[in-house]
Amino acid sequence: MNDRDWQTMIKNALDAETFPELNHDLWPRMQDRLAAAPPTPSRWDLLLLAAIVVLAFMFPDMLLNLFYHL
Amino acid sequence: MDLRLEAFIGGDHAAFEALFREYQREVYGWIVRLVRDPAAAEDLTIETFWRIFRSRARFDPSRSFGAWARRIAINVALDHLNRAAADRVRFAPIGDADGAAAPAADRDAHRSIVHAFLNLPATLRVTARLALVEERPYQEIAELLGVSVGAVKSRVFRATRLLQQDLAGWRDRR
Repeated sequence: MNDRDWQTMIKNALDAETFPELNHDLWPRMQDRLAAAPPTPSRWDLLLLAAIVVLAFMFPDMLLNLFYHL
Repeated sequence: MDLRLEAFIGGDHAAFEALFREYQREVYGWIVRLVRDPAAAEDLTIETFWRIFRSRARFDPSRSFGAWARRIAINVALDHLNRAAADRVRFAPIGDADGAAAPAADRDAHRSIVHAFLNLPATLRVTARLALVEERPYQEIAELLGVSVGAVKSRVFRATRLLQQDLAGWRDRR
């Protein structure tokens, strides 16, 4: 047998297999998964955090003011 | 641009739900053929759509959503198969269409081939299924798996050789 014959034989054997169909809706489980996911910070949140870190390095005294206002 | 895809990229849950309901059976079908476990395939379908939702900003709406979803589904299935291989999970044949109707010798041959196929490493098995069973073009498989066309050809060649070796004993017995 050459490679082509082998491949045909493999295809025929695997083609003969049957697989179960999905017979119910998975959306309720997907909703649970979406609800369980931790909230992802927006780009603005990350930008704000980065700005605070940079400013804290540049002006360490600013941290005291920041904590006072929080 | 498809308004639904645009809304999905923007994070609209209704648009995502519509896409989920349209593609869930197809995604499950791709995955169950690779992992051969209906319960795991359901979990992996959810995982696929979760990854789709999380990476929606990277989706190019001028391209096919189905092709993108398939790429993610195959990667999710491959991760699962690699984990299962590490845990030494044995994969069982799932059932054959010609079952009782086929002659015993053919059933035996099919069973041997399926068993040999299940012994292949996950990456070879997935590539071989796409190339030999579904007869997808090499270029498409390369895009789905994120590898070069040369790598796909090499994997198909190696899979065929390994199957030949594994089945040599069975063929000699015929």
